[in-house]
Amino acid sequence: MPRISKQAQLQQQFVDTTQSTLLIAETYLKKFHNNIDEAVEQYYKDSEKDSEYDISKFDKKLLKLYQIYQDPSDYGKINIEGTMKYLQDLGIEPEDLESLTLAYLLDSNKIGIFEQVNFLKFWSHYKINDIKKMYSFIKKIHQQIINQDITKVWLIKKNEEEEINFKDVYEYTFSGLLEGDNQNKLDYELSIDYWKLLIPVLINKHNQKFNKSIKDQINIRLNQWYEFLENDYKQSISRDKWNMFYLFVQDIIIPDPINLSEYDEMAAWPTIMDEYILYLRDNELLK
Amino acid sequence: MAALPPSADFKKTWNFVQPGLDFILGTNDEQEGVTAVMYMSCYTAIYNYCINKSRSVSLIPSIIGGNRSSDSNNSYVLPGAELYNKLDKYLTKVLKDVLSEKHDNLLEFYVKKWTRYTIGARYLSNVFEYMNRHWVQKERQDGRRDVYDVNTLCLMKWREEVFKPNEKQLIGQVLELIKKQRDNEIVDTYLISTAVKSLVFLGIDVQDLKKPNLVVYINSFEKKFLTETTEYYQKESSDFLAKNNVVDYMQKCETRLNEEVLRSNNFLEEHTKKHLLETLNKSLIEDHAQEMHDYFISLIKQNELDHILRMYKLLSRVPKCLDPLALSLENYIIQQADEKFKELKSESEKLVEDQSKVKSKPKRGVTNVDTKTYIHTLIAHHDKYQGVVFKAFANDPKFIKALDNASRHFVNKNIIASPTERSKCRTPELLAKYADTFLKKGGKDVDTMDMTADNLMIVFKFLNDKDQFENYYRRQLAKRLITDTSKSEELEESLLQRLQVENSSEYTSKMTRMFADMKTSADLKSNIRDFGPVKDFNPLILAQNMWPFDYKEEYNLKVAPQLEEQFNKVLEYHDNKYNGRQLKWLWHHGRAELKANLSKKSQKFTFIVSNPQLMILMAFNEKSSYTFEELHEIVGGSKNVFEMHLQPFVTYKLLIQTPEGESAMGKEDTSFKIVEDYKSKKLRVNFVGAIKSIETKEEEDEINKEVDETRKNFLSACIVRIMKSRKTIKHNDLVNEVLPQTVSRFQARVIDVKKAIDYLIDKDYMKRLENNTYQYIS
Repeated sequence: MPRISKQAQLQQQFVDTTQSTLLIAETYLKKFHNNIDEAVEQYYKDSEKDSEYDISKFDKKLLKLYQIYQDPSDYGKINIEGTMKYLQDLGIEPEDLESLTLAYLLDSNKIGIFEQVNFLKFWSHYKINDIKKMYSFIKKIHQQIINQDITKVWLIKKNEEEEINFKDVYEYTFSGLLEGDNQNKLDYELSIDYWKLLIPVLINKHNQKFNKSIKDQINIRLNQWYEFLENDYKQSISRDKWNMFYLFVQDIIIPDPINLSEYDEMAAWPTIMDEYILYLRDNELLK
Repeated sequence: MAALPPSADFKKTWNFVQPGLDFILGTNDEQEGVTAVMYMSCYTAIYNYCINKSRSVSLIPSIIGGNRSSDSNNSYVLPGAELYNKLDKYLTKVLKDVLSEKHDNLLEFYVKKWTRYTIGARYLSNVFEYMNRHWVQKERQDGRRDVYDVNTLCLMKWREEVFKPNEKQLIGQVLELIKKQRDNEIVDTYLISTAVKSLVFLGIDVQDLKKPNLVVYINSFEKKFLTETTEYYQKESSDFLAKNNVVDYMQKCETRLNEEVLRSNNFLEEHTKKHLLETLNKSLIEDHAQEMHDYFISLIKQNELDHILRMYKLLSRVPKCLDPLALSLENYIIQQADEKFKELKSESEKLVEDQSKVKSKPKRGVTNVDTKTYIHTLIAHHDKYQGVVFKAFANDPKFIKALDNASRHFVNKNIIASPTERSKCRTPELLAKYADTFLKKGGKDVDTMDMTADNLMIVFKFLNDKDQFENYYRRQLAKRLITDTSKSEELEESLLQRLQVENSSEYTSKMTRMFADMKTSADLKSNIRDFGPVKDFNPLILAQNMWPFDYKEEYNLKVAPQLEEQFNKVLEYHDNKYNGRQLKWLWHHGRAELKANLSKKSQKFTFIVSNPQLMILMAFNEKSSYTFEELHEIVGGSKNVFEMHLQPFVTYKLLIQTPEGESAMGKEDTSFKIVEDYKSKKLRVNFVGAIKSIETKEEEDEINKEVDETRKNFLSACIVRIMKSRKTIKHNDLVNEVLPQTVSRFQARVIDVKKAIDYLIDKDYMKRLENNTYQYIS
């Protein structure tokens, strides 16, 4: 008899009972620490709430589209290869910000992977079932997010329309980049890559308020931040630091990039910000 | 003396008594006193008048006292109104006459007349005693506040007729006299005191005649007196300081203060004393505190403790003036300490240069100062100023605090302890070394005689990083304990006790546990003494985490078969006694002595060896030659460790290595053969000293790591405790609550607290809210 882990057995049992997918089984079992009775009970409760999640009820064309990208070994999700193809078909480069917006909208647990249920629910909600319309939809929402203060979007998790802004996408990015459950910090190199992608949007939101030379100053400070991380700090980035950096850029760097006069060492900034300021002073980059 | 007048006739009665009254008040020309007969007849006439009237009035109440007709239920009206009014008018006339008398000096005249008048007034009051007691009292009881007993009436009349019209001139003359006295002229102080006293008598509370009242004294005299005093001394002190130095000025102040207190005691009311002193303190001391403060530094430089005491006593009259002085002292002590340590640094550097002409420059900034000299310099500096605080500041708490602050500063921050701004303070390390020097065996008594626990405790009190001291001290204590090099158990324990009292039992808990382990191990030793070949077998069982020792995997030796039984006995004994605890051998600590029979002259050698060396030599009891690989296999441990401990045997020619050479040593098939005839001048050979140690630098890193870790835990625990009770708290409040809690251990910086906060946020113990606020996550 092949050795099957206890986890896998429970998942199979869950699927057999509920006729759902392995992915759902995994999610619910995790939530209830492998207590299968509670997990199943909760699953039924949830299913009553959104009874529309029955694959057969979805638009056939949408289902067909999904099947192009689904993971051949687990129909419950689109794996990284599927995602690459999906993005290619949409005409989005993986390193485009649109891919983050898409991952955020489809509530992807991990960037690069889409869950079947989220894919179907989201596009059904907007009654979209072909790739071209998907692209123009994403493009439209994305432009709103990066240009406006607030955008209204239907969120899978909430099952209703919510007002969101760019900061939500920014904070989601951290979660989407974490590998597995035990990781709670990002390597600073990876963080820097994504900051380079995300922070310019934040700056552009303030674009009208300042001229080019100030914009250059802001970029100098940002580059100093990256240098500080690479040469001096060299530690991984926690969620707190990630989230607070957004505020640091918005409240400290953008208002006065030359003197950073809004910075108050008595305020509650994480120490990484204090150390950055110290680094600037030590290297005579800041008065 | 004429016969008494008819008691019912007021006019006759008054005419009868008036000449007597003149005598009593001394207003007749004869200037004589009243005779007893005259006094008695006046008294009787008035008495009769009052008695008679009261009787007749009670018979025909409707005739008199018309203003009280409503009061008909009141059985009678006392007579007296007519008499009282007449007396009032009479007194007015008498006093107007007095004033019209010719006089040269108002004050002298006033005092003379006052003295006579007040005597008369008291007699007069007695003459009218019956009226006082009946009519006056009744009137006052009925609420009339403008009727007084006769003595008071006399004073009131004096106040209106004599004092009021002349007040300004009179008070002016009194103050003039006081000024003359201040200018050291001789004046008639009787005039001052009588005039001033008269003002007290003239203060009458119409509501309650018996209550003393200083209203006239205060308004007419005291206020002006205080103003003049201020003006006088403002001028005098400025003039004086312009021409004299501060010490002379202080002496002048003392004299002036004494004089004024004396004057105040002699003829001023107690009420004035407090205000007078305030006035004097302001114009003599507070207004010139700056000059005194400025002079303080030159006084202390010349060690003029008497003058400083004088300054302290003067300034302490105005307590707020002491604060800048205490601050000056604090800064001065720090600045002197800076100079002293700079001197010490250059002296020691010179000494080092002299001793070794070789120009090997020490690390930049770091000076190796003799520990004892350093610690004793700290103490000497502290003691010197403790003497100053005692002698010149009467041990005033403010100055004790200034000394404490300064000591805390120079103990933790001086050019020797921390050569650069950011370098870590070495005082905890040096203080622990100081302790080790006098606690361990082997030092010369001459050197350690003056090194005491008292000294240690003085410096300890001021250490910021007490946790670091604990770490160094504990490591050295551990070495003393396991190598049995402690000079006296009693001394060790008493010092531990003192550290515990000064800080906390938590602070010394690890060391206390170490002593307990030593005692338990002594029991163990006596129980397993008789098993096996090793004499004086002394295994120690030490609790992990309490002792600064770690198990080292590279020292996993294999016990030689001959010793196995004895070593196993330890485990067996231990397991029986303490079930569930795991023992690990720390082979890198401990020493062994071997007796060796390796001489043809039948000399018996004693070899002092490490544990790996012990196992190596034991193997040669079986066989006289091994390859490297064989021997390593028997002894165990990592290759490096094995090689390190093998080396000294080759160096000291106890083992013959073939092929020779350092590079061949660690090769698998290099062979080692034990000599049969060992040659050595000494019978005791120490092979331990020659082991190339690589562990010295590690220890400091280890200490820093341990201290950092403990601090982080301490801060986190602190924060969690606060968050638990407060639920949400502002960042600054949290920092301000945490910092004081660390003082007994170390001086936490804000950044340390923030790092602990970062850590707790990452671990989901708390989270950020808006506005620099944190929330506890339970």
